[in-house]
Amino acid sequence: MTKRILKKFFRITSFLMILVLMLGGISWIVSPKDNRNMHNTTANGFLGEKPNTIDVLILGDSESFTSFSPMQIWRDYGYTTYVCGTSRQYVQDTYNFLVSFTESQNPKVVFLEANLMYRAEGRLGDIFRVAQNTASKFMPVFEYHNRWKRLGINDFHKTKGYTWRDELKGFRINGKIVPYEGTPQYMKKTDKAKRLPPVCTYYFRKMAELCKEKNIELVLVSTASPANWSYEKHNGVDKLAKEYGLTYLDMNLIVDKLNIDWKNDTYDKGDHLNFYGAQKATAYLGEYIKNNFSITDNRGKEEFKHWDDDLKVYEKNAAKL
Amino acid sequence: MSYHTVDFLVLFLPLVIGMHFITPQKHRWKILLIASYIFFWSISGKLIIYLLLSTFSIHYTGLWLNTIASDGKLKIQEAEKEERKAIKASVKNKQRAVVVFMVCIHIGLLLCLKYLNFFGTNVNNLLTLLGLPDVFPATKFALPIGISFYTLQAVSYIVDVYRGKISADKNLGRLALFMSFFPVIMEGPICRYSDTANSLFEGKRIVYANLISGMQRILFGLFKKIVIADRLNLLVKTVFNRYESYDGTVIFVAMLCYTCQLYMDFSGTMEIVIGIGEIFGVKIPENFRQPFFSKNISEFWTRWHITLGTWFRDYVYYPLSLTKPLKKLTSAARKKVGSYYGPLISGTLALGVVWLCNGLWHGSAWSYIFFGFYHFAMIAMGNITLPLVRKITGKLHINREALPYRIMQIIKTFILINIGELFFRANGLRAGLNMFKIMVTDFSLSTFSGSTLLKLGMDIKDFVVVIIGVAIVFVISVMREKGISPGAQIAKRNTFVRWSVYYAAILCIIVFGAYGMGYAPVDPMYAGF
Amino acid sequence: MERLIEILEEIQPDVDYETCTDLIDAHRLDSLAILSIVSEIEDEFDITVPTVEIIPSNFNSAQSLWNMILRLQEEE
Repeated sequence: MTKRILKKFFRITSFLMILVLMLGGISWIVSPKDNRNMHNTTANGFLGEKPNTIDVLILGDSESFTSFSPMQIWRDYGYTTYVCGTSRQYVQDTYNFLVSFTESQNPKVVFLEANLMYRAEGRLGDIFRVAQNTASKFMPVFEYHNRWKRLGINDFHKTKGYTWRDELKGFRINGKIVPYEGTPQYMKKTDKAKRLPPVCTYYFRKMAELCKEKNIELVLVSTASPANWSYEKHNGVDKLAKEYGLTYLDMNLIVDKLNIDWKNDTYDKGDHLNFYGAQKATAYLGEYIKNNFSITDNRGKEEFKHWDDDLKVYEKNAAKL
Repeated sequence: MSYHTVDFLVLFLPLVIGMHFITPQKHRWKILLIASYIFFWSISGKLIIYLLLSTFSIHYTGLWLNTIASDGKLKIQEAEKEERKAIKASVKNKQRAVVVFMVCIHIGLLLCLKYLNFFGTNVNNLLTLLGLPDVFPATKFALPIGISFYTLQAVSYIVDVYRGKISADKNLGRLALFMSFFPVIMEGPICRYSDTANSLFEGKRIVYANLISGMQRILFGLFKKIVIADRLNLLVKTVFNRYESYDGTVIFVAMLCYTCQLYMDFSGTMEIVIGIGEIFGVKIPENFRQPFFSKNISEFWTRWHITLGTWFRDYVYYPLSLTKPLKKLTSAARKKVGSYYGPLISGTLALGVVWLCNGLWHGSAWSYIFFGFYHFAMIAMGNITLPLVRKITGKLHINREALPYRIMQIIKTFILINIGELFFRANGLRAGLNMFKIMVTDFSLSTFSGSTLLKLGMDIKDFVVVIIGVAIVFVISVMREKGISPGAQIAKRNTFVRWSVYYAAILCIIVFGAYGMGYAPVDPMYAGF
Repeated sequence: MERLIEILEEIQPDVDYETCTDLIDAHRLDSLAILSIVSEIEDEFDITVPTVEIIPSNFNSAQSLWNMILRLQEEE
């Protein structure tokens, strides 16, 4: 009896093991050999940058890549910055970006845009999602299976080599204007703090620990966004920052100081800043970096010449608006 | 979390199977019940209260009916012979009152949750037409998952107890599991207590053979759902949402694609559901029997969503057509118009009610009512003209059993079904009528030669995958129609062949599945009804 | 029994009711024929056929129909 069960157990296990091997093989074939074919292309553009050349990393969801423009910081201060932001980013993706970014780069400061700290699907949903993401990290076939349509001969023999650089360094230019018509006083003061979902605090701890270990300054930041932010959320994130002894920079409280004009500076009624709003938020962030950290000004150095080339592309794109 | 997702297949289901396997037989039903409630909770959260209320109420109703019957029996034993009949009748009356009351409550709740808004809007529209102010505030209730399915199961339980087909269940746990079993809760099949309750409760050991054949069906279901149906959704979505921009040919193709999508989605999910049942040793009734081999619409409905059809037959059609007035009508009419047309009158009346209910069951919109009416009209017309067709084919010496004639019938039925599904999917009745008009008036074959069809969300590679997929499903359908079980055929071969088939199937689903980046996730389509 | 077969033949000819045992399963009788049969045998044998009895196993052969009729007559 037990022998029969063991035999069947052995059969099932070997079936599954062969399956895993096959999936591994197919994963290797379909996974992109160059970062330009990756999903979340702009956020993965850092893979094409020279190692250890980027000093500031900005992590976050769509709020991050619409609000902060690394090329503007380069132009004005000479700091090298990159935005690893993706739409509707979940905190464990943020963590994965931080890990893979610090594998090739050695940033001094990491800004975490705090909007994603409230993104969760309830306990059960989060567990499932985390498991799913982990699975597709080890078996890229689940994420990149659709590349069967575009497989070329290279996919069968070439090893990975990242050749593509994003000239905008993860920032996305959007010049549309759809005004925010709500009250400018959307941050109504309160003592209530919105509770952060456990999955978010869990991954935040991991990120904080990683930063500490690598001697990186971690800063929480919120860009101005009436559609997403409130004082209760501010208090929740503020409490978290205090708990870890970190700084929390909330631009929603200093909208006037940033000089944001809600009639002109958002492209979707106060959800995201547009290019005009982003310039103001970025200017503030650049000044903040200058005043609080000692980052090297790399302008004019030979090994950073390509940043000046990229700046030209950036300015050409901006002029087209 | 639904049946085709990674969460369910890789985490939830194996966990339940594992727990079921290591739990002693006596307690296995508890594992299934807990799993079912977790599944329900993960989709509908607090709305589980509706399911619990339904479960408690039918449990209590069953026991109540029992009490009435046993009280009656006591009285009969004490009573004189002449009185017995009267007591019997009063017991039946009392029971009937209880059943009617409880059925009304269940159906009423379903009506309230699903249709109040539709009803209110229409009354409001009517009032506006008459120049009066609106009286119904627009309210949209949150619907618990599967309410349309488990409510019908609840009604069938109560009525079956009343009819004496089953005896009332004293065990609340067994009844709760019958009502909530996680594979069927989302979109059926609509089970009968007499079919599944005991095998669910029994907790048979999971055996290797069942595990394998269950997995086979799950794989086939996933193939239908993820590879074919979800891929077709790309085109269907594009065309149906902006039909004005397309000509008749495109709408015709979209109509075929939608019928195919609906079939692959629904029957695919059913394969998964029945496969899961098989693993746990529970025989869930089949919901499909190669519907597109039907020779007429009426036969189609005995092969498509079978459990809904038989539910309507047993709890609406026969009870209605065998009421006293309709029975009298049948006998009277038979004497006048003969034994074919005689029962047709009352039968058609009952059929009309069935199809009104069927249309409404799918959702609260005029397009669903139209869908029901359309099928009613097709079936009624088929019945009325049958003698004439028989006469004509007889005169022309056409063999109605010959293959060409049958194929012609199958094609005719296929087209009629497709037109019905066009209205079913269209965004409202008006859109459906417009689409139909465009399709018949603006049809040109030249569209096929150009690249128009490749600009609707599916490229040539997508079409190739779909066509190969449909061909595979077709071959398997032919085998099943001939009584050959493809699964058993595979299981007979040696390990190498078997494993190759399984690996090919799994890898096909993973690589060619329409999921992830670029595809909007499609929940099982009938889960919304 | 003979009377029953007469009724059946009147409603749906072309079937050998003496031997056929899959009247429903082979779709020889459709739902309309069942309605006729029920109303006829109710008149003829003075019974009421409740809806529960309308199941394939009762209608698949003349013999099973006959058995049902006898059973219902007893219960009356």
